[in-house]
Amino acid sequence: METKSCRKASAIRRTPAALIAVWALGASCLLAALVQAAEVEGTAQGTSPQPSSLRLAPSEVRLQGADASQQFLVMGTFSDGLERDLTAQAEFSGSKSGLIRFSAHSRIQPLADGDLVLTARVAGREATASIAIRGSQEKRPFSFPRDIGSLLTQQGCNNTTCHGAVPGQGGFKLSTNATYPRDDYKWIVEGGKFEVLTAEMEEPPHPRVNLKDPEKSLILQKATLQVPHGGGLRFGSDSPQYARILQWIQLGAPYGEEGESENIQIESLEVYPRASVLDLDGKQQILVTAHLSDGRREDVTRQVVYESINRSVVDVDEGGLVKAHKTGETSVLVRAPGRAAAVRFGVIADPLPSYPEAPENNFIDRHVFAKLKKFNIVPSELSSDAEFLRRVCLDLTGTLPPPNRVRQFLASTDPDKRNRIIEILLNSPEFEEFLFFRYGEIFRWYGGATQLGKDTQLYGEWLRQSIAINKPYDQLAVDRIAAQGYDGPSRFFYQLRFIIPPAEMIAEQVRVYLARRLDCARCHNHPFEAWSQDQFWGMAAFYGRMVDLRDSVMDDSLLVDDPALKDRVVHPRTKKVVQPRFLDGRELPEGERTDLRMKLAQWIVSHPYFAEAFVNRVWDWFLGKGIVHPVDDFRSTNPPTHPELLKALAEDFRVNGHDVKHLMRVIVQSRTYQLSGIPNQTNRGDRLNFSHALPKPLPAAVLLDAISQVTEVPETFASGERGFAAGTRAIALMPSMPSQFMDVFERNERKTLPEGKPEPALAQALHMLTGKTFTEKLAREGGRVDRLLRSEAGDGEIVDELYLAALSRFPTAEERARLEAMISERPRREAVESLAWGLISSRQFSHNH
Amino acid sequence: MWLFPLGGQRGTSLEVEIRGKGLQSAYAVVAEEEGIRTEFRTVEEIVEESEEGPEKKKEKKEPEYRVRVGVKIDAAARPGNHWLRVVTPRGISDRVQFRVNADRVIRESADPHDRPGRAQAIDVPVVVNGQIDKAAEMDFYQVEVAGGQELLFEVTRSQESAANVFRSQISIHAHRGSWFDPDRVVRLAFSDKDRGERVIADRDPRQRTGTRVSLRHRFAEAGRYFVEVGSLGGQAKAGFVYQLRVAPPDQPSHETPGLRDWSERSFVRKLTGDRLEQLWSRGVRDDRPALEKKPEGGQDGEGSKEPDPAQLDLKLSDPAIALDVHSEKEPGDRLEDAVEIPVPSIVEGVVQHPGDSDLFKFKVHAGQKLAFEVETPQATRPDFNPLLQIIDSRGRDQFSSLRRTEKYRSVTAVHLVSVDAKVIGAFEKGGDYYLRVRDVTLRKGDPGFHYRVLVRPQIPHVGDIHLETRTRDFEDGRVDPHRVNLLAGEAVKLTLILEQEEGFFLPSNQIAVSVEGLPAGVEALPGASSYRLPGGPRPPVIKGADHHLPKVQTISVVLHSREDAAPTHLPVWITVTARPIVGGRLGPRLTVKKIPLTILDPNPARKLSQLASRPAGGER
Repeated sequence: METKSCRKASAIRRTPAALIAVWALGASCLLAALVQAAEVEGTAQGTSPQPSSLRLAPSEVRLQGADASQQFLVMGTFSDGLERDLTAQAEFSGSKSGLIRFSAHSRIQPLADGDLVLTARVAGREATASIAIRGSQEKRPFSFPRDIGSLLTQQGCNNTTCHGAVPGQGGFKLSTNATYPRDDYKWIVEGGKFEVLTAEMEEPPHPRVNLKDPEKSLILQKATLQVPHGGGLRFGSDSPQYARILQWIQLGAPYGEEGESENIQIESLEVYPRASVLDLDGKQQILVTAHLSDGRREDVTRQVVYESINRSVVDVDEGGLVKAHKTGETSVLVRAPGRAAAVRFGVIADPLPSYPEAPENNFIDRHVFAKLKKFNIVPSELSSDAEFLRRVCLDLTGTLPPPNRVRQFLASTDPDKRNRIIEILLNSPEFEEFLFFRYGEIFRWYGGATQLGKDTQLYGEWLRQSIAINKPYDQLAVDRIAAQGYDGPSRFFYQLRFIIPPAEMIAEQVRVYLARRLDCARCHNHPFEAWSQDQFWGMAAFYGRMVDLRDSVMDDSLLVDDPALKDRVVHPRTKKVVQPRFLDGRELPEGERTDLRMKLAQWIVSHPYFAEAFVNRVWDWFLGKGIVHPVDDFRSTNPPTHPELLKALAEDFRVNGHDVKHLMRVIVQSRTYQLSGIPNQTNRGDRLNFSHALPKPLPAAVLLDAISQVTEVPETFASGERGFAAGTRAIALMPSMPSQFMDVFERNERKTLPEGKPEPALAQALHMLTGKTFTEKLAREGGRVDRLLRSEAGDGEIVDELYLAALSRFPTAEERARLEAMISERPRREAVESLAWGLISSRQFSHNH
Repeated sequence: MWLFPLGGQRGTSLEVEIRGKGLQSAYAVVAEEEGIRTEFRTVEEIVEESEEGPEKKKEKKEPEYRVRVGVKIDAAARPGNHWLRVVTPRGISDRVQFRVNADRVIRESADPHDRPGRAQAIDVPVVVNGQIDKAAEMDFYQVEVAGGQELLFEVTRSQESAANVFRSQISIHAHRGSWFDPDRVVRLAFSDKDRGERVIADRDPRQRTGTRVSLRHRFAEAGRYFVEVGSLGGQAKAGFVYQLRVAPPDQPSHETPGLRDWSERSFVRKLTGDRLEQLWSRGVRDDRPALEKKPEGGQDGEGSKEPDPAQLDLKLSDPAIALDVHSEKEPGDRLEDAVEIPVPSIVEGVVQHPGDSDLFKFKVHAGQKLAFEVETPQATRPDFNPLLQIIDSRGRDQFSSLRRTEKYRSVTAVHLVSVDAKVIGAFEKGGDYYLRVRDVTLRKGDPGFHYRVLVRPQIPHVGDIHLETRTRDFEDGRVDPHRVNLLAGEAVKLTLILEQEEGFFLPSNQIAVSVEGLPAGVEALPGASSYRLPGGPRPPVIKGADHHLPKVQTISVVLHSREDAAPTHLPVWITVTARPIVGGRLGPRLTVKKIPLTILDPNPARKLSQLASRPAGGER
């Protein structure tokens, strides 16, 4: 069948219209292949699933004090394998009367001390939970952190866009999410504001409470808009919040509980469920338990703040009840003072009547396919040989397969040919070259304004040599984190002739190796995460002893750690010297501080985050999206789409000695990686679950090399007195070398860690039309086009050759026929150049798919 | 100024081209050392074509000139670095490096050899004179090797090109092919590491970096391999000249250094058995009998338990005392494992692996003053940075070769300044002490990290002496210690920066300076000096400077030429000397430097007309 887009291919010219035509050509080919793909029935025909068992969460509760309460969930496990929230349908009863009362449908409060069993019943099934009640008559004493601080958090007063910002807001400062209640108390009751660099106050303190006339307190007047307030109305003067604050001021604005309990903080938040699959229009109550620093657990379900990341998929009310709206996947954030968590929600379509079993190549497929099945998403078919070959060559080597190799591979009947080519590629010099490029991106191998050329070279050579010996990734990290002396890894710590300050360094190191972003904790506690300013500076202290030996006898600085430097890193808030402290809060003992950075390096590579961070990054390289995405932004509020897969990959990476080649081999051998990019009806909208291959734009350098390869015209890089020999690949280039093409296609300059992936831009389309990379190379004497035209090859052979070179596949019979006709109708050279231009300008070419 | 080719084999002749500015009307080229004879041939202006035409080009830039000179290298000439200078009516030029080789020398091919497929075939052993003058240029050479053969590849760039940031590098490639490209060559080895310590000799920027990059490689398989000579970042320009030497590693180049300046704190100076004699030769040895010097009421009579430190130092400083050499014993990182050594002596060892440290135990008497000097005979800075730490019998630090600034609270502050090749100290209490040797980092260690440490009494002496003079404005304006061009009727100033070591700096001690060999009409006079060290950041305040730094004084000498002094046709070589004086006793003459001097006619036109009537050429 001749499609409209195929007809357009016959009119290829170097015009925007021709460009669109080539893109359409690519799309039509995908559509054509889609027709060949197996169609999967996606509508539900079966009966509604029934619960097969019931359970009550939590199963054990201890209620302490008169103010305690606990919400329960009733979860049913159904015949389709899913758990559903049946709380609303449940009936509750206690084994003893008089001990508890229900303050809401599934929430209990203590009445008297004692033990009892709570039973929930749904559709003839039962589940139980044991409850112990102690101190039921003891009212909890007032505590500023608990009673006022949490109120301010709930009202959003202390978030980072309001008074929780580093300098505060409107002259009023609060610690983010009430992390430092003592400071908050002082700023409210005594006035004053936080100064970042000095302990001195710039202006006289201005209290926010009026003890003589409590109702005239600024904190109440602002929140109720009795006086102008940039933050608007926070609560009314008849609200419980107003009453609580007023009462506190009337009592003399005490701090309340002193001593140990003052320091009781939430150490972690436990959410239940951690992940949930909902039917369309399904509901799920979230249960939130705070683990306190005194060892107690407390139900804080109604004291936290909820937020849905994608409200079109699920919505959540202020009590934590989630409602599904449309199929998809998203997270609900849960925030409490100083802590945050997330619950992952998937909303599924109706189940398929017969879910097709997909073969599994390794453990990756087991995890990916299990989730797909759970979500009623059918994975795409296995990719074609041509699709696979181009993909794996670009992913492992950044290089297109040459036409003769494509022919060879497609013609081979070896059932193990995919594994064989994987091994060939993993052991090729092109693999090392491309891994150097990949490492160059994350380890920031760069040159130019902020790094000396010789330092860049030394650093780059260390990376190259490390790759050449397949140095384990953990060793690579240790070498770089703890580098001393005058060698490759130590050069990373220099910008020109100066050592990068500790605070800048640690934020980057944590981001690269642990995939956590601590940057904002440099100035304040992280608004959503557990990262505090103390933790940030504790980590920075590991870099506090770095100095360079640069004397009159030697040009090249030596990087050493001076044990005599013990007061280099000062906390900006407390203005005190910070001792080295790991991210987990453990302070490095005094006796172990001889070699701080080595201790840090050893801690980093042994931490579970380390392997997870790297495998996720590599996964992103190959699958186009991280299991956690963005890849360097792991946080409780950005959970992995496949936590078990992430763990399994990390474990496999660890037990195999952090062998990067092994990791890549495992990924590209998986069927998941080898799935076709052609979607089916069930996975068309899926962008999270790796049900089909996602097209990945080629990095600027890879794209430039690919064009040079297709045209057989090497790029020349030269600028003034500097230059690189013809044939130097863009991926191996020192990044400071000017290149208009790579600038237009948004190469990563590596001066900082990248914040995201490049997006298509208008300048790129214009460059395709007029840029010399796309035009001159095609017409160059001795290039591929010229060579083909001078050869005795027929039009069909030329079309084949160009398709193989650019797209690693033969044209379809239809494409070939149309293009042959087009060539015969126009001047031959112009037609062939136009065809080659159309191919290298197409999305099929510029993406790895 | 630079020349090409960079060198030649001894016993041969060749033509050399010297390029530079200010060489118009050149009429002679002279060599600094015996063994090289020169024959001036031509001088011409270099006119480079440009899009704007030759005339435009000339307007924009100071013209450059090309001097052609025949060089005949005696068969007995010393292999190594030599120096040539061009003589013009404006005086004698900077020196330019010329190398003499013992090996066969060839020149790079005029045919393109910029990729493996066009590599120039060379037979080993050989020295190739090459040049990288176009951006992105790299030179490829092709060698045939036997399986298991090991070769040493060395690229020596000229001192001038090193000062112009030519950072050479060597790569070795093999034809391996790949699935993608059957013609692919694969890099087997790479080096851009300078051999030799980076030193500032005479504060001349041209001396600041090592000039030789070497790479030793064993070829597992017989076959054809490619040697690539390139530069950092693909940078290239006229003057990037080099010599590539390829030879078996055990075949010596026979290179020897020329006359070298005294180097007090270089890590690569030789701590030989006559080191004490060398030190005394830069001071004044007290030969008086010990009794004459015994202080009144001294404590070291028969009943005294401790000998007088002065007596002890005198005895130990007797140059006749043989310096025993003691080697480390592994493991030597605990006090009880330390090797006992006498003072003075030399200790040797290797920092084998990261964290390796060696301990040596020695005895001192109360008040004794010792010096500790370290040499790195193989691997050296910046790879190997030996740290000397002196600790007492309880493991407490006394002093070390680490030089520190005073405490300064700033994240960018420099707290450590350097690790020095020498540290001195006085011991308040007598007893057992230990010398610990390790690398300054905790990461470095290698079987090639050899060290030699001389433990000796302090010897008051004159240390490094830097000589500087400033050329006149109409010349290149650079600081150049190596020449004086003196206009008749005018004066120039020589400034000596004198470093006084280990107690030499006393009111009773002096250093006298003289200039010898001056031509008629020129005299050396004492000069006033407000001399300042070259610019740069102010030096940090040094903590414990007495352990590390000498006392520094400057002396200026003015060379004055009478108006009627006869202009020189070829330079006259003058000798600047310094002489220590201790308590009125004269020490030996120390040659600071021999430098060429010309007397110039103040009227260049007259000079040029005189030249026209003389035959061209000049030899030395």
